Amino acid sequence: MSKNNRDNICVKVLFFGAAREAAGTEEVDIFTTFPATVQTVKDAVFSRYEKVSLFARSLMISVNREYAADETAVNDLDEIAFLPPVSGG
Amino acid sequence: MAKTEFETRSQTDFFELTTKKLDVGAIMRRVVPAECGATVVLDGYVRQWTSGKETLYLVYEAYEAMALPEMKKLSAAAREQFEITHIGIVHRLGRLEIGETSVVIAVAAPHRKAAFSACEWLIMELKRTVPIWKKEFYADGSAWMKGENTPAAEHGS
Repeated sequence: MSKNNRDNICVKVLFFGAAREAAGTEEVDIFTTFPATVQTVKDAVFSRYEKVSLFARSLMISVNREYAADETAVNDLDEIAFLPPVSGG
Repeated sequence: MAKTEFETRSQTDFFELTTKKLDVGAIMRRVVPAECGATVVLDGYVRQWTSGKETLYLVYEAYEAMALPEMKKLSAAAREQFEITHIGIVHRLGRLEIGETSVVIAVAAPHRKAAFSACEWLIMELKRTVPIWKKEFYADGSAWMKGENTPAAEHGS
């Protein structure tokens, strides 16, 4: 992958709660190509962190701190968080 | 002339996450506007027994940069539905012992009924949408809790 290729994008992925424990890390940079969606990032994360894929059905995703759907577009330097079902209160 | 109780209190909404112990009385007294007659407060604390299972302690974590804006959104939505004037929400993070306060929601209204309704609605929505997680530690293991009615189902992914 060439660094000068404008089709390459890098997003910051954050893991929380059970997903953080499954990933074994709080944060990772994921490189992919434009155009990309939340689903693209999910696929990349699930293949890299198999244990996180066990949560696939219950995970919510946020893009830049807003809940997002699988088809939401992601752009270079976006912050994508993997959120297990919340349990505050 | 001595200031009245109203003049010494905060007149703005507040949303906070902290690892420090919560003082419920102090938090609720920050939500006492002059035009109101009632402040309803939820003191949510760590339950020891859940369906016969004993909790030893628990640990909360949050996506802080998203949790605070989500709390503000809830507050804006609550104002549209209920005749209320001020809202304060403080959630504790980190390790909490049995009986310690994990969340305080204080709502002030000219008349109490709207404050009760808004407070119940706010805790319900907080548990559903605000990115905060609770891990329970039992005598025989630990588990991440799952919220009720969380948006996971809505997004269908």
